[in-house]
Amino acid sequence: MMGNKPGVAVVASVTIAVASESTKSLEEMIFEASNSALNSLGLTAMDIDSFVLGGNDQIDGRVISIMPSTGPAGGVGKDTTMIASSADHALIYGYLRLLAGQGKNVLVMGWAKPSESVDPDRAELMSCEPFLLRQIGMNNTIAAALQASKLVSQGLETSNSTGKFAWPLGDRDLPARGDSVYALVLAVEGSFTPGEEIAWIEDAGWTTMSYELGSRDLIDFSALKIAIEQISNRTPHASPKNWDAIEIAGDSEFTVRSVSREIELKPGVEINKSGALADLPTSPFVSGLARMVMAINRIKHLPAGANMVAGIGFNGFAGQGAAVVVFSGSKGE
Amino acid sequence: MTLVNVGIIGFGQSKFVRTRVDVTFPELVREGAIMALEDAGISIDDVDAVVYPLAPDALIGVGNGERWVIDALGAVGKPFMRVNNGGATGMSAVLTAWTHIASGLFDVVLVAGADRVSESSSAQSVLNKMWDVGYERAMPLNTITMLALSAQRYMHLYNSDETDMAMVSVKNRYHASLNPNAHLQTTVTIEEVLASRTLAWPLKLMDACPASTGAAGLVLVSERYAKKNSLKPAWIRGLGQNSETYWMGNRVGPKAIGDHADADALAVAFQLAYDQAGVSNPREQIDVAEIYAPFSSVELHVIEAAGLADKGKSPAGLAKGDFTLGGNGVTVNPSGGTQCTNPIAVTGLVRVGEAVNQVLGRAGAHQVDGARVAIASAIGGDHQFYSTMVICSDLEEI
Repeated sequence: MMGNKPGVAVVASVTIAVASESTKSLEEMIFEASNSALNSLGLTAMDIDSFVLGGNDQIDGRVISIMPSTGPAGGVGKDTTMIASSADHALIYGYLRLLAGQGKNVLVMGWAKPSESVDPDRAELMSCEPFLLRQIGMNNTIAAALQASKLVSQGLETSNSTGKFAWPLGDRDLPARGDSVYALVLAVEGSFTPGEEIAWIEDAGWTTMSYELGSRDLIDFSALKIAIEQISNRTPHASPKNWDAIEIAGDSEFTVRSVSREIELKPGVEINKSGALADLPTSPFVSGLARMVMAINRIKHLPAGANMVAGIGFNGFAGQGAAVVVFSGSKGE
Repeated sequence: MTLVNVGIIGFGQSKFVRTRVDVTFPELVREGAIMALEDAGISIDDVDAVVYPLAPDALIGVGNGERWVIDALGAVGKPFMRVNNGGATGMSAVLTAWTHIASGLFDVVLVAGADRVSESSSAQSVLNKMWDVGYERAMPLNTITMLALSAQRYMHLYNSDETDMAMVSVKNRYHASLNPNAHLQTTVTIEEVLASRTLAWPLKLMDACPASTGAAGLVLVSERYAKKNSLKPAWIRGLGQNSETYWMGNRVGPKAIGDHADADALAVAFQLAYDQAGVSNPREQIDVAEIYAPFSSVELHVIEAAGLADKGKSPAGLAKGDFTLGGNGVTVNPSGGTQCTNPIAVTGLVRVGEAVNQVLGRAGAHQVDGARVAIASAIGGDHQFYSTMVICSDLEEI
């Protein structure tokens, strides 16, 4: 199905991730990341055909987050779109744009700066529908704990992590929270000098399951499996059995351990070689994109003979949605 | 750029009103999805992917509102993403759906959503918060005062007056009176518009759009799917998007990078779509325009940005009956437009849907006779994000 489509590569990748950025505004961080990505290629914003942004109004504390972010991203005078369902969807949409022939390149950004929020937990609570989940105080941590507790009940070992936040999750089981901005430039084959590519995008799969926690089996990872199936059906060589490494943005380390067991992987696959969840500051809205960027950056550091890395992200409570993007060091292999 | 052919085979919209207390928000979204699918003659099982338009979550009071409506949309297990480009969201979502199909990965994509603007106790208070906290929020700006500044500038630059804006309101209210789905359906006179209470001079109540509640959806298909199933869609022949500066202060004064009287960034977006569609003379080649103009003053400069009148000349056209159903030249907003119905998240989507209905000859009492080529546009943010589209009943030369 994709046989006649152009190859799409990541040609610039910038990460700014800190526990708390108190000297720069979100807009300044966005400008810095965008500018760094463009500078790495010797380009300006005027050389970019379109901009795809991934921001979250509530976490950003901006009523329409695309408004203040378009300028610092470089999108004034350009086609700019915000994909608001998750930052990893922004990466996928940037990829789709190039497959669709909408220009030779696209700058994709995703971010979250919860340190600017008075109460990020409150923002998570307000993401619950008002009738049930908001009343019981649901948030990402509790949803992750519900998922982890069921995994434990099914035999997954508990962790030695201390300082339980919500049983069975301890401080080392949960993703570190922090301020982060990511900027990627994607480009169509032929529009950049061979060798400039950091990674090729082999394919992407994504889907979303039921919002109702009570109607889902929280540990069947059906969203992830469907997303992987999309890739395997379209691009068999990018299926999990050919992955050499995975970067997984789990809601907890329980998720990471389970996911790596749920997927049919070849022996010796590197899993979250970039670091444990607790060591890498992020925020749920952008954590999937963060791991995808780590997957991109892993390409150059793979052992000899290894070539393919998958980035996996989740969105919504307890993995309601999942996205998978498969990258390789050489196109179509 | 060679445009991949993508067709629209289904459009559904609810009757727009101020308030709906009979449905939850997901149920309202479901209405839009079901109406679009029924119009397309397919079921959700035939849909490969879903794109969901939702502008500020704050207006519905639930963050990440897209996650809440997945089940109601029927999108469980399908590729799904949400677009938020402010007021342009509904149309940006259609462009996003177009991209899904043009990528070659999908054949059938549903775009459906809803809004209930009036559920917010004060939409204008929410919208004030879209400006930066340090400077322009404090003025205080909201969408009314922002556009009042634009209207004042237009009046100053082009020697226009409040009657010019009132003519737009009279035209659109007349058109909306013929549209059973429109929110405001009563006709008004120029005298009534001029006598209505001032919101922010020169804008008056009858120059303004309502806060609407309702749902809408579209079904887009690949050319391959349309041929295989012997369908006769409306075709997207051109599309464009462009962005403007965030700062109001950059649009006024001697160092302005864009004049707040005009919509030059929108004109660029129209030109992108025209170039793709082969439109070189819009006044001759286009039959109907469904353009996003929440206030009468906005329609004046959007008509001009679309190339349907020279800058500052749309009032003169209106005065001699242009842009009106049964009048001269291109009919503008035969549905009554955004000024008569504004459910923000899907307003842009409705513009596309109304354009589709026109070129397929099924717009009912507000049908433009013989319409073949239509344009649609949307505006988001503080006149910051622009989307445009050219839609045609066929794939022949325009």
